[in-house]
Amino acid sequence: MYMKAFIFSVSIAFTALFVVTAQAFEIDSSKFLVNGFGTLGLTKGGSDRVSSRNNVAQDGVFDEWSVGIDSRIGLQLDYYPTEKLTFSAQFVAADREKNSLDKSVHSAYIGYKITPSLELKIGRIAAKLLLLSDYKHIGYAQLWAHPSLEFYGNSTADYGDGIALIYDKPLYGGHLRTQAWLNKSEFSRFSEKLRTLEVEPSYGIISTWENEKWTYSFVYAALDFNNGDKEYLPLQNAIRAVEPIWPSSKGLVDDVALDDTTGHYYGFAIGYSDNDWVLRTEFSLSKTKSFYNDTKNAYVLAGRRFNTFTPYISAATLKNERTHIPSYQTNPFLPSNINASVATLQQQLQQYADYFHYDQQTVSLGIRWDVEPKLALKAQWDHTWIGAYGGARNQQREMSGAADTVDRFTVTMDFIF
Amino acid sequence: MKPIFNLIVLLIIGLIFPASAELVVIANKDMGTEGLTRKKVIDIYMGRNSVFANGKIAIPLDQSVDSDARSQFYEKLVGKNMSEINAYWARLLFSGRARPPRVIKREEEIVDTITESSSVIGYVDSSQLTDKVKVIIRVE
Repeated sequence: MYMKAFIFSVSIAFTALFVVTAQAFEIDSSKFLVNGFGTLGLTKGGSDRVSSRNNVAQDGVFDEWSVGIDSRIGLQLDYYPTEKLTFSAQFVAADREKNSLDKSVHSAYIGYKITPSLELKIGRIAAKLLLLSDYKHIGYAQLWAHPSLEFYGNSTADYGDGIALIYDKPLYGGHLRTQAWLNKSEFSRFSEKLRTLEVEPSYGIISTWENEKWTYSFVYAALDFNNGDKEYLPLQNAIRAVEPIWPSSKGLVDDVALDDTTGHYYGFAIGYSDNDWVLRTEFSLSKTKSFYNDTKNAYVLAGRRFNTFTPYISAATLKNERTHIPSYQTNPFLPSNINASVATLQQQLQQYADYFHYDQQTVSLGIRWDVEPKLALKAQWDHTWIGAYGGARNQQREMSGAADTVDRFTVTMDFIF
Repeated sequence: MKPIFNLIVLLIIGLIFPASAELVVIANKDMGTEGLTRKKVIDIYMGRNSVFANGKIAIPLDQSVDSDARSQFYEKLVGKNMSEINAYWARLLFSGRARPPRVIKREEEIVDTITESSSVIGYVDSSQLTDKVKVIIRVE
């Protein structure tokens, strides 16, 4: 079924390419742009227990080869009827656990320049939470073979449906670009199966200053989670039912549900690039009243250019505090089956909480070879350390209380056209 | 014997020091060029800021993807090779941040387009200059 959706998406995109290209010859080719990008990737990674993948919306690979994890193809159609007006649509066919044409449309918006420095966009707009987040699928535009799972494998969708206001201004020898947005988005997480939550509204602001070599970026976002599945209700009802005999469970009623609550996201990035070096670091902090607790992640990346070759190294970390469900003390005045039921509930809650726990670090080594001006080959090795119960960002066949390691090898061919 | 020797010397000098074309960034001769510094040209061609001092939006013209002039232009202007420039523009284009310079394949056509519009700039070999355009900067 996934393959069918994959092929369907590609078909639609290329049909659109054909139609628009044909029209472009009739109208004005300078006002139409048809561009594309793609990555053909081969990945070997994961172990029997823990998978390798790029984000939580993917079905990971467990100690096997895969061409799906790191492969994708995209097409972007831009139409500029006037200097102020832009119509843009981007389709990306990629491996997703739940695939659809809707998820393949990464952007589809109308842009209008209110002044030369101020632009309004309405429609589906790529998410801009981090430095690379609005082009993380464009392998050719990046140094590494795949973005860090710890930092870019987060659970928010690649896009939001709403509006964005973008202000661009020269400042202190560089340029300051500030984008504020208000939209409706999605958030994916895994607990027994992949679940998609609505994020409505999502709003935030990102400000980036850059000059020839340096980039500084700050972001703040607020996300209101609405869980349509409400799969946590049986757990909530069970907690309420046993509260009188297990008083320490009382505070868990709210934490068990990532629903009708607001998350706050803060990020900071510094980048440097010249003819010899590519350096970048990013840090983010997410705060929600849920089992996610405060989640922190960061990475550093350093690459050195030698003509057409750029070897690089990166280190990334992702961590939050594990929620410990209070233990249940057997009550001698209660029937044994009641005591057993409460003990079982305590174990179920602990397992549920562990689906939210992150504790992992990855070191990556790789090399990029610019074969031609529009084609690059990359090879990357990742070694990941996962703490006890801390592999929630990876897909896990079973929870483990023991620390674990997992390796991943990736070879990609990235191109633009 | 001496003329043949001189010819050989000239051929060797020609091979070692080939005639280097000079690239110039040009605009319509009626365009006000105040504030159009080398830095401003870089900003326009790198998609950072494309607003002239008079508030008009600048439209940069590029040469064809595989042309030597294009490679030389970016190498001399910002010190980046075509792979770096393509990766940079892939980032801007696919994130919806900026529109890449419009490509015109023939230098004569670039000059003609600039002659007809006061908001367009382009780069050509200095041998293509006419009295209907003016030089903003020399790309050295």
